This record gives sequence, structure tokens and C-alpha cells, in this order.
Amino acid sequence: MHELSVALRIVESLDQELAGEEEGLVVTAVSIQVGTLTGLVPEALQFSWDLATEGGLLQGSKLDIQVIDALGYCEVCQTQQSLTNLQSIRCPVCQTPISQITGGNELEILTVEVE
Amino acid sequence: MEINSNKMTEPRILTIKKKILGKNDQMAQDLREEFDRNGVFVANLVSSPGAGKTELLRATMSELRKNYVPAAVTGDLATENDANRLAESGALAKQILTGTMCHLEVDMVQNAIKGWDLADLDFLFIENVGNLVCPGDFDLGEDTRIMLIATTEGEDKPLKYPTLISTCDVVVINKMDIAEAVECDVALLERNIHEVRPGVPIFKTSAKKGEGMAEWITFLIEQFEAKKVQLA
Repeated sequence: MHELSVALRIVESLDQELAGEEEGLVVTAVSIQVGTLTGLVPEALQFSWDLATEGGLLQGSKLDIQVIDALGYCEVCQTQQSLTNLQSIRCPVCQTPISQITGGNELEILTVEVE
Repeated sequence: MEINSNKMTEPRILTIKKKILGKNDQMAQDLREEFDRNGVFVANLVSSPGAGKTELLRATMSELRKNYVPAAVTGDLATENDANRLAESGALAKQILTGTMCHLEVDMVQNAIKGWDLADLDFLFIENVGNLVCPGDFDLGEDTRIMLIATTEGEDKPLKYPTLISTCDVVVINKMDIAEAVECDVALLERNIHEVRPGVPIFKTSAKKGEGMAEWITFLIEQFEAKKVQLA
């Protein structure tokens, strides 16, 4: 349930990032990447967005959330595999349990769309 | 003043490529280096509320104190109860009050240990806020992240909360002394842990009755000694 604090971090970070841009800049959209292992709920983050952006530069902007699957390295197949079922961390091809997690913790601002 | 109202504004995309929790990550890395310089082994303990983190730490520190210097910081929304209980072990303990926050962030840990001479410590335990979701995203500069699950929680707990456990290095099943009374199928619990976190080492303890504590303490000491060798 820390979606609001994550939303506030995005605002804080972008306020800093956009401080050097010209006056009258309007931010229309913010695009972020969220891995499934972060435990963040996209709907809750979306809900927090209006609250977090109220009265600031990002007010009225749209938040685009790209959800990224967890990834793991299968030692048997010797390839990276998408882990779509978090209740069973196994290679989707050979069913071997995967202990090497290689992705899914992403939490990153990708781009902002401005006018 | 120039009036720009007629100026056409072209939409454009700015690439940001910035980690949202980058500030916490950077501070955690700095703190980790400080722990390393002082030879402190740091463990971040996570669990749901009531799994027995404080009792496990109290018992662990009582035992470690025979040959080492452990200390702990403990996060809760309110009350100093946990720090008081941890201090019963004779070790240094400090409460972090988080207000309404559901997890610890690295600056809270940093503030809590201010004034402590890290060079005097061997172990630092960070008892996170009881929560099985939120602490996962926040690096606290720890060497190892430990999840505690009590036998009272139900065998399917790992399946219900698979995200935080995927970031943990060790799992401890606590309250083994009452496993039978609460009809916990420990073998099934272990299978479920390994289903969501394959290969993770599992320890089984009763912090209250002492069962399994010797293996657990030995493991911690081995980790500490290994870190010392690595840093030497």
C-alpha cells in the first residue's frame, strides 16, 4: 500500500528533472515501467496519481503504466524466461524451478510528454 | 512581457529513464559501504505482523552477545514496546516510529543509528514494519534479507504474497513449538516457500522454546565470518 509514496516520488523526481525547462510547459503524460515483483498495484498507483499531482506541474497529466513480467534464468534451458505465474516460479518450457530472478523489480520513469 | 498565446505548442517526448526509488537506492548503497568499512553484518528482517520478529531477534541477540556485539533497530507505526523487548537481550536497540508508514526507508535507518559507533558492532538487525508487501521495494543497505513466517499463518501464505519473498535470501519458519497444535503442515509450507522462491535456505525455529535456534545462530555467525574474510 505504498503506491501514494511512489506517486509522490515520481512527482518529486520530475519536478527536479523539468525545473530547467521553459515556463508554461504543460505535461500531458508520464510513462513509467513497473515490474510485477515490486508488489505495486497499477490501479492503486493510478488512483494515487491525481492526489499526488494536484496543484503541481503534473496536474492533469495521464499516467501510463507499463507492467513488466518477472524474468528468470533457467539453468536447464540456458535461457531467460518470462515468469507469468508468481505462485510457481518455474521455467514455462521445462518446469524446472528457477532460483535466479533476473527481472521484475523495475520501477522507472521512462518518458514525459510535454507541450 | 512577451505574450505567447499565439505560439503553437508542439507536443514532444522527453526521455527521463530514472529509477523512481533511485534516491533510496543510492543512499542504501552509501550506507552499505559504511557498514562494510566497519565490518558490520546487516540483516533486514521482514514478516507479517505477529510472526515473531521481535522474539526471534531478542533470542538471537541474547545468544550472539556471548561472543559478538549485536544491535537492532525496529520499525513500528507506534509504541516503543519492541525496542524495550529487544533491549532485554542486553543489546543496543532503537525504536523507529513510522507513523502511518508501512515499511522502513533507508533514511529512517540512517537516523536511527546516528550516534552509534558502527566500528563497535558485529551485527545489525533491522526489524522492518510487519507487512508482507511494501518493504520489498526498499533497499536498506542490508547484506541479507530474511523473511519470517510463523506456523500459525497457514501453509499457503507464501503463495498469497509471492512478491516480497522473491527478494529474500533466507526464510525462517518460526513458532515450530506450536505447529502441531495449530495443525500446520510444515512440509507443505516448505514446498510452498520453494514454489515461489526456489532454492531459498529455510530454517525452522521456536524462538520461545529454543528449538532450531543453534542452527540459526550458527548460520548467522558463518555469514558474518564470511563477510569479514571477504572484506579482509
